[in-house]
Amino acid sequence: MTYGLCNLIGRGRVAGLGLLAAAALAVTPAAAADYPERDITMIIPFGAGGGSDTLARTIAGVIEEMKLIPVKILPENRTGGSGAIGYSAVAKEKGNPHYLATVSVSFFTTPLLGGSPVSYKDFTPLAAIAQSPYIMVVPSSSEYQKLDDLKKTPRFTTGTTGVVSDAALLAKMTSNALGIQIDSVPFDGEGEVMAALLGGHVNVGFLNPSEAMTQMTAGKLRPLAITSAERSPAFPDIPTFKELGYGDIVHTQLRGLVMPADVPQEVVTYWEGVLEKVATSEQWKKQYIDRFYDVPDYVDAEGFKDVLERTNARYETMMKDLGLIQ
Amino acid sequence: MSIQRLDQLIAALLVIFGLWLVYTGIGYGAMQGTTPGAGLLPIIVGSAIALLSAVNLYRALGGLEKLGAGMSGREAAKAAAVIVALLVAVWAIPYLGMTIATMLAMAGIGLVLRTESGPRFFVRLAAVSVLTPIVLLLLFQNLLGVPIPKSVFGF
Amino acid sequence: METLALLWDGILAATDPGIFACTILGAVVGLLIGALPGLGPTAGVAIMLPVAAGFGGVAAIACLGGVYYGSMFGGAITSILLGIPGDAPSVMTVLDGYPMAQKGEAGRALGTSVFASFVGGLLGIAGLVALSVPVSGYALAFGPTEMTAMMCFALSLLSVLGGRNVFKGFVALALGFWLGMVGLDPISALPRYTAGSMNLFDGLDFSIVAVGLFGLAAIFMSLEVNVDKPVAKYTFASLLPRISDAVRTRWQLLQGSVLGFFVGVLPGVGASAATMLSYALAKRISATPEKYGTGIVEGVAAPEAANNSASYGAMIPLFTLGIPGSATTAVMMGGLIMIGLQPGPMLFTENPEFVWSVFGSFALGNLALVFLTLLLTPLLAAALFIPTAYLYPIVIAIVVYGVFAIDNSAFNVMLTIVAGGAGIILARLDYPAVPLILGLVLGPLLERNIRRTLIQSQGDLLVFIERPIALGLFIATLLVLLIPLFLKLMGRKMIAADEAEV
Repeated sequence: MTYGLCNLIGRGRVAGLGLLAAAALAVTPAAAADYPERDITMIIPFGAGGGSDTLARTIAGVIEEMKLIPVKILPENRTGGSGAIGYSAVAKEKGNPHYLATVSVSFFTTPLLGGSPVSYKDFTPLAAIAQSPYIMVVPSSSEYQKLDDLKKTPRFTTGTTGVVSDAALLAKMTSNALGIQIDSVPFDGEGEVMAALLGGHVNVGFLNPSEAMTQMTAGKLRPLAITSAERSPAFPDIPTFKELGYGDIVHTQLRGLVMPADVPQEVVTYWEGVLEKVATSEQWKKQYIDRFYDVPDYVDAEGFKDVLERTNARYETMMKDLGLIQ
Repeated sequence: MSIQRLDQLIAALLVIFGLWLVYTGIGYGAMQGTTPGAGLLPIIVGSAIALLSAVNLYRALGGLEKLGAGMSGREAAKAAAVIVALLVAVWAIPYLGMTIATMLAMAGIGLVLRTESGPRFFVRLAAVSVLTPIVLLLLFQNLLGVPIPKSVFGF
Repeated sequence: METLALLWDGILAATDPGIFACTILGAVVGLLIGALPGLGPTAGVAIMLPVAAGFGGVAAIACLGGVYYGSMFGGAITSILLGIPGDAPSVMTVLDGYPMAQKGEAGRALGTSVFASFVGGLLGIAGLVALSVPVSGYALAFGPTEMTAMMCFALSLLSVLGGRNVFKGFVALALGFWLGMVGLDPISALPRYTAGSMNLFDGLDFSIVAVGLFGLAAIFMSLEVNVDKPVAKYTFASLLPRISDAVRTRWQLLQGSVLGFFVGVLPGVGASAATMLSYALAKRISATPEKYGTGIVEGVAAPEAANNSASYGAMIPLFTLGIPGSATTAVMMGGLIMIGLQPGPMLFTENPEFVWSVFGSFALGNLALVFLTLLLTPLLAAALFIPTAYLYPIVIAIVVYGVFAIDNSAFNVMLTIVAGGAGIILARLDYPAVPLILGLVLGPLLERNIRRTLIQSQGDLLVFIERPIALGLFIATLLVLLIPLFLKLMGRKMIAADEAEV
């Protein structure tokens, strides 16, 4: 609350953008020269200790460590509403370049399901600094050695976290490509999905690299294919769907940052610069990539925007197929 | 309203509520292909509530149900006053901040519960009402890192 | 024996002053957070995570573990003294603990909860150390089908908790089921009963309802009680715990610990369900079930032993399989990753000294908590000497802050107050609050697992009897329901519970 007030008093300079003039109360953008002038709030729409939280805090930590910006980044967990509460809090700060958030699956799915007043259109994409592929696995005890072996059996089940998730999406895509049926059973968390897979209650899994790595090293799971466009440096032996002849199945989660809508272009350029340095840094590699087995990859604002739109379209199509939305 | 009358009223309301659950359940869809849909449990639960509450309504109307003494008017008034004080305080959090809202609510509740007369009570209550939110602020905000809402004055 | 030697080495390693200090820090923070209404182990571990990660290595996980089991000790405090569940797993402690405090036996009740927590913790650690590998296999054997059967079995046991009017008991259970449906349905992705509000999208947090329904309602209804008769009936002796209670409740302690451990291991079930089952089972097999709920030490011992041993059971999938079976262990897993360890099947083989030192710290922390809480008990129980005109505003303020902190949401505080108001009406009209809470916890588990099973089987109902564990549990369910009926028909009154309840 206090924040809006400070803003009005603190920054009254007009940098003149017709776009912004429309929003009467919107804060006028500062010139790039003196940006950023105060601490940046990084809203994490999920609880402490989870995947999104670790990602956001690691990015903030690396930026701080490398002294890439003259101000601090203050991470703040705003949980609830499957991400809707946190993301709404960011979107509300239209035009304010002192708010940051990371994207996640709920960033797309909650708005599509009607659970959030804001969608990806209410944000300005800045850049992505890594991508996280998914690995399709079966329990080691199963008879399937490689992807095409699955064609021998008409029906499988897989576990997903929530109905509309990357795992469910990939199950759908794989079903279509291989001409089999993979039904998704929604569970309440990644732990439950893993337990169901190891216990033999579902037959195949689409897992994050770090989850898959643990169980593969222990010899409990066997990888069949990876969803990145090229082989991942962390898993040089796992073939991609693409090289196995299923070029349509390329789907990764981009680890990227967004700001509220209508922030000035100078700010976007500024952050592209900062994030490019993060993406190529040793710290980022050590503290995140190596720990979670992601693929280091820098995508600029324009490219990131395209990916966001494409991802959103994929979820939307999937929900329409499921009859969840019209 | 006597406790018996209230019992009848609640039972009747629950019958309607149960029927409403069945209605919403049908809207959510009882089956999704070959598997139970989002509406199946609401339909079952709604029917159960409607049916069982109909029994309760019958028993209540027939005077078969023995209930405790209920609340005296004074007691009900006190409870209502405390609840209203709390709801008002929570509503006022965005304006007054959590600390001030809690201080006022505590003082209000203390006054409702007042058992002794004399100035000593007011001094003690004031001390308790001022100190507790400050201790809680230190505990939750500074130690546990919970962002406690602040007033427009900044605390 | 080799295991014992390893554990002994672990305990010795955990006596390292640095590690021990972190263990105690975690335990004290856990005690505090557990005692604050609304905040439970998940919030506690999450809050301590950044701090603990800074300690690194064994100290970090010893600290987080301390928060976890410390909060299991702490949850009982407000449940007993004020009737406000400190966290979700301590709801059942209210049922007998609060009446004991009202009778002036707060010290005995608190003492029993400490003994029970200690015994539950000790047996839980023993199970964690000795049985983790076979038990993790058992946990994996529980898929959606088995979970469904388990929930049916649980509900059949819980029928003893119904209250006086059986119709109203079932209405309350159904209302609990309904409250459990609020939010985004995870199987079909339809939002149900959210009234379009994103505050309700994630569903109702169990603590929000329980704190209102038990805690605030208890306060709202006793506003007049102490006006005429001040609380002077407490004597100093009544504030002290009694060792004899520990002996008296030995069977409840044992049964609660074992049950809690095996329920706690199951992914997604959790300590709350474990305490409910433990309490229901203790009442069901008791010779004098009618005494439960009136304030007896057995009713405190059974759930308190269960929640502590459940917390160790829940760590088994995490340490042996790398699977977080509950929200709390998911956050702990974050802690393991942050200190550079990959939780999973390789953890035991690659970092044995780490694992054993952490287990050693659990044993030490558990023991330390006994002394801490026993020392604190008279002090805490003395809070009841404070006149209500001061005590209640303070308690209500703590509740408001505690519930707010769950999701940093004032909306949740509103819900708790409304639940408190509704609790008065329910209590006055003899609608029991316990089945409602049970419905809220078990309803979603039952619904989701039935639907998961049927998605897997494509609607074929036979799967429920094709799988041996599920079949066994269903048969047990039928027996629990039919035996009392059968005995009644035979004109014998062996299980008195049903005479009293139906």
